[in-house]
Amino acid sequence: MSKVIMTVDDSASIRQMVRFTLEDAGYTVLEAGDGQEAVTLLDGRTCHMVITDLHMPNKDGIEVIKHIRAHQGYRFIPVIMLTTESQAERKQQGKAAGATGWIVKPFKPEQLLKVVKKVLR
Amino acid sequence: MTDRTAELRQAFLTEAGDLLVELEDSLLLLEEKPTDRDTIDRIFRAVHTLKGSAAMFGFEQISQFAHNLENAFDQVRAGSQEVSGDLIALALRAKDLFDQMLEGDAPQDQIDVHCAALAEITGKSTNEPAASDAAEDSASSEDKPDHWFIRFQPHGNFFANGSDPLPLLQELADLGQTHVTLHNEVPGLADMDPETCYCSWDIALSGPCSEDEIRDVFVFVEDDCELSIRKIEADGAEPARLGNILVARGDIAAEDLNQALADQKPLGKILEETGKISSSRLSSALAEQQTRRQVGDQKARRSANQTVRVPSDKLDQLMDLVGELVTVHARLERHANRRTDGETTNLVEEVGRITWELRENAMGIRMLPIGNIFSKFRRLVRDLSHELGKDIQLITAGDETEIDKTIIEHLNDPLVHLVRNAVDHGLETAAERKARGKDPMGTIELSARQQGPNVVVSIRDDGGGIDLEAVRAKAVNKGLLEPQEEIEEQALIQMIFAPGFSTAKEVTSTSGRGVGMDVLRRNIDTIGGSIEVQTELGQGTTIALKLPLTLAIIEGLLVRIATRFFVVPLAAVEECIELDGNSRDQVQGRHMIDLRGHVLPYLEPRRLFHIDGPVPPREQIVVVRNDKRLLGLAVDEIIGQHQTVIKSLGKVYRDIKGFSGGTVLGDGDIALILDVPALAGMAAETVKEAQLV
Repeated sequence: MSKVIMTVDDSASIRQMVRFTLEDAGYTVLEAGDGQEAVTLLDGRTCHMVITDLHMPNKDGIEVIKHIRAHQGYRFIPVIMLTTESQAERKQQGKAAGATGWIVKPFKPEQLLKVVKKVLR
Repeated sequence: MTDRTAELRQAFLTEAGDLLVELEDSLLLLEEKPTDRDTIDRIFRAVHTLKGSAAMFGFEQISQFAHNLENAFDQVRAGSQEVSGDLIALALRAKDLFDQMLEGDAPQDQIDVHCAALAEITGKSTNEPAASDAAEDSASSEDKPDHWFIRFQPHGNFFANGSDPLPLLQELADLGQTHVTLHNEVPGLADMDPETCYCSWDIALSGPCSEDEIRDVFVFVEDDCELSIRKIEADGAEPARLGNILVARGDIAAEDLNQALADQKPLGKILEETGKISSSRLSSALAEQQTRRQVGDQKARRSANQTVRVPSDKLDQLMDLVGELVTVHARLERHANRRTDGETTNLVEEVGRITWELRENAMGIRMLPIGNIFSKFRRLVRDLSHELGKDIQLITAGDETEIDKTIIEHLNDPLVHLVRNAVDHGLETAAERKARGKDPMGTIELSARQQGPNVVVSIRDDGGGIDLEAVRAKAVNKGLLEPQEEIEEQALIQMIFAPGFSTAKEVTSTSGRGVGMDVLRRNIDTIGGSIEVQTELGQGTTIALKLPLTLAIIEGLLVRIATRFFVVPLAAVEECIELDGNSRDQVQGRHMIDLRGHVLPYLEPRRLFHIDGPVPPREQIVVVRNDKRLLGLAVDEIIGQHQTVIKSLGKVYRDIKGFSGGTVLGDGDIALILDVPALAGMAAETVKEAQLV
């Protein structure tokens, strides 16, 4: 049974890149185009991990993280935030909301896989 | 992969086009309503997304440029920048430049001018690096010491952010060799909060990694745990003492150490008994001590630590010599035991220890990853799938599992046989699979894993499975089974290994070449392995070969019958019992005894091998296991455990049944090694003969 990872990003190209990379590595990938879609998708279905952008229309990444941490079924899954900011402030905000870790954009496929392996085995 | 790269670039170009249209629209809207928050946010997001994606797909120039524009709108969002006509004009001009950049013909001087203008507005330097981490690759190549002590103490709420200690420990193990000690402080069930982390870990890590690489493992959790990383240095001439290590770690106070030293018992024991330290902390410190001892050696070795290619017959010779040494040591030991010379005894023990280490080392060198032969099967499966018109994929797992090279050599034919079988009989054709609602592509999985002193190699297919009814019918047909006889499923499956048994309806070029399952079984028996089959009709079959790690030296049980010595492989021995006159019984001409209420058949090798000499009043029975069945072997005396160096019997005696080899004993005597599966076969034949009479 391969692990299911959701990519949440308003950029279709980034979602596609994340999907290709993860599927090549044997994961199953769910896609959400913004925070609202992500929250709707997380209806109790199996999802082992979420990789979310922070700036998104409708619901932003921070809200997605808060939603996950408040949801009985997903409370303990790892959530990785994608951020272009390397500023400590952004990360702190995400961590405070409950993010497990972060990836600084731009990243290469191998960096993405390295981070996934760090939180999900 | 290049297809994908092109595909991704195209996806980016399309997306960037959309973003720029949105940017332009929003900017025009903003011009009308300069304070509209939503519009400002939309502009920011568009620029932000453009920056991120551009950098991902290698459009550095666009990313850099977008970074400058993003800064400006970040200030607008934060309220520190006004939406001026100048700003909007600059942003619109930027949009045009983006368009040109995407076309690939943006004049650099215009970009520079534009950046400068933006910088004037935002007051920031234009050459500030785009937000990616500049420190990314800088930290890996500095000083590379070999040994680290890491103490990792997660906070109680460690799990709250979805963090998991296990992948972190695994990631550390990827960096080098680790020795992990768990400090488990989980309270009783009544007081336990299942969402709290009560554990912490000490890790002794040996590997070519820097402190930064280790810190990087914990980068996401540095605020959620106490982490200390310490380099373990070689301590000059004298290895570090346990007490010093414990004091250095702050696990005990110096007074505790002095107190303990005064008592002169083993230090660790005293500390543990007096409750100064938990046993896990102690064993962790002992691990560090061990590591420190190795530091000195390894530092010297590192410069010359390269791979050397050696012809494999040299390895065989080495193993032979180690075998001789083991034998000579046994003789030496015997000799020393007859004298009461303490000095000699000590020396012999010393030689024994070194011999044992040498043996372990030599065996380690002979270990090869099993992936070496797995890879050959890709071609085989490919060719077979073409030949038979079946669509098949081969998956391998556990390629890195190591096993003695002699066993690998013995494994090739059985595996070829099993894979052919799986392709030919196991997997259905694509049409049949479709009809059964399965993926038309069949899968064969070859995997290996170590399990205690054994390696388990399994071949799994997702084909039709073994039709047990067909097996039963065939078994009855061959006279192996009574028509109404009750039989356990496993025992029934094992029937396929009986000589001359084949459930294939027709012989094809792929299988039925005279290499039957019985030969396969014999091959595996020869190397001391066993076969287990699991099958589910319609779902597939898994055949697991359980193999010993090595063939050259085994642990054996040395026994005596009259003046002859024999070795029973210890792996097959279940127990030893005494045979007295009362428990003897003879049923159907075969000897039986009562083993705690069960009937145990036993063989008399004395008769089987025609050994003369008086039978002692009390014989011993060695109970051995062969394929879930127990069998007794009657012997005169059980001498004890024996490290057995296996020597082949040579061409002349190769076909003699009942022996798998010979070995030289301490006093130069020879002992034959009993072949348990063959003896079990003989026992079964005895029964049949008795039935015929």
